[in-house]
Amino acid sequence: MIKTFSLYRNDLLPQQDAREISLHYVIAVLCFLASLAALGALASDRAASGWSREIRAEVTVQVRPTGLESGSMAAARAAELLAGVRGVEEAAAVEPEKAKELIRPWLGDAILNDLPIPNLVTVRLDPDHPARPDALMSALSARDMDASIDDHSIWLRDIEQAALIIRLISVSIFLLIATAAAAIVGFATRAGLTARANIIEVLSLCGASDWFIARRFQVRFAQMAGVAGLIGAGAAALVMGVLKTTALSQSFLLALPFSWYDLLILIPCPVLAVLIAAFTARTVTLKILGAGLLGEGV
Amino acid sequence: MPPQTPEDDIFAPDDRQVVSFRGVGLGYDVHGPHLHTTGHDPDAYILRDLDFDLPAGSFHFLTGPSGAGKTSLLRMIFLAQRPSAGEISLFGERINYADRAQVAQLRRRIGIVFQDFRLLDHLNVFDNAALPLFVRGEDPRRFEADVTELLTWVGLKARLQAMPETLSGGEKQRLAIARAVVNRPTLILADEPTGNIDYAMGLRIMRLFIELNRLGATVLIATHDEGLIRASGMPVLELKEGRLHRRDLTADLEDRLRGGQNDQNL
Repeated sequence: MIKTFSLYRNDLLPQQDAREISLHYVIAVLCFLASLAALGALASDRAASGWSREIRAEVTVQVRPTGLESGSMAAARAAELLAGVRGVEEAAAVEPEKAKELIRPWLGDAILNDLPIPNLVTVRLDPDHPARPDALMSALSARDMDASIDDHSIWLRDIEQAALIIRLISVSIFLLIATAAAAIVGFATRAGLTARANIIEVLSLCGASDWFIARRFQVRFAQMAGVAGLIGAGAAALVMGVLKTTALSQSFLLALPFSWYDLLILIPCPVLAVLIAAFTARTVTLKILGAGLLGEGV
Repeated sequence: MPPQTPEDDIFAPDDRQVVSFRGVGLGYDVHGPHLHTTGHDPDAYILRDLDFDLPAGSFHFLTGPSGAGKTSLLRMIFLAQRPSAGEISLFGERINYADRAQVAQLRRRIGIVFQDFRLLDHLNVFDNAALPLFVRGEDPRRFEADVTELLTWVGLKARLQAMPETLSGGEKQRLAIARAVVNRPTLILADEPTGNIDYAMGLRIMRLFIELNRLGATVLIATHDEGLIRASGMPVLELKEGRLHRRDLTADLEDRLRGGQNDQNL
């Protein structure tokens, strides 16, 4: 018969009121944003590593013919030579027509025919054990070839810097959201304590310690943050699912390549929300009670 | 020369006394709405020079006109109000500077009945009555039978799951009393505990207090109810103009013989 009594549910505070529903909403939105920030960070990190891996695995060699040798012959000889270097998967001379095609969008047909076309060799390196540029250069010099190597390091640096900035921005957003959540829970705890000063006074007069009262608020806000965190993380997962499965967003996925495994990063989000809410509610309650801010009788 | 024994030091706490007041005063801060704790302006004091002991196992009434400071005196005893002057000891411990953890521990030994009941509106009758036990960390499954028996005794068996807002004034008062005595406190303080209930129920409640007193509890009841005071024949502390007086029991007895034929003896 007594099973329905509140004390069996360990719940001494009244059921939630309108303020707490708003708090649910705010925490859910914050968790949603934090989850999106985390997913965005993962995807942008993956995109940056993909790009830098591709760039790192390719080297362009420009060959200048010497003596009676034509440019395409020199390029073919260099390609053959480089293909035998350790750490090179493939080396191929770029056909003059293909080189023109690559340049045409920038210079146009008018002057293209009057310009000397560079003799290029594209070298695809072994991604696990790539040949170093100086090894390629020494192989070419050993055969008296006049060549220069572009290992794309300028682009690589830019991409790595961009990836680092994205990571820093994501971490900053995450920290901002976490502190905002703590501030909101702290504010709600203060409001909750003031609104329930009469309840706290009765509990105090019945011999409740500050820790006992703080635990009530800690559990209440932790539960609330847990539910709100699940809703926020769930919404973020839903957004990612829609982006990943609809044809419309394929170009978006090229820029931010999401993986289903990324959803695992959403698991700590509600857990973090619970920890932040519990810690804040407990700290604020103990501080307010200790300072006697609810009146001398409490 | 410093005092060598508790008898030499008039302020030394005496563990035979459950409550000891030595030169206690309480005043309002003339600069604000709050009771102050440091001022020494005697004119601002509502209670002054309070010197009394409540020995272990004693039973006293506290009476006096409205506004005499009965509730304030009770508040000082249950540590909801610090005195402006003097020293209070509770269970042999000086409590003027007790920290919050000590206050919580001391309050677990006190049962309090408030004039305005102070029930928690979101908890039902059973939960309100069981609150002091729950706060002490006891398992509800273990105290369920005892709490139900106590509520039955105060006539609330049929209302165990009722919410306080549905109770009459008398039922609320009985519930407040049940909550105050549920953990067998060492000291029971009651502020007008029979103010909202009929005379028969008032006597029944008084018998409960007397029974708890016989079992060892020290009882102090603030009341205006002269009939109840006369019927019980217990000693009376009277607050007049901010000071505490012990009522002359002989005069009271004569008064009782003259005009108290209608009082039912407890």
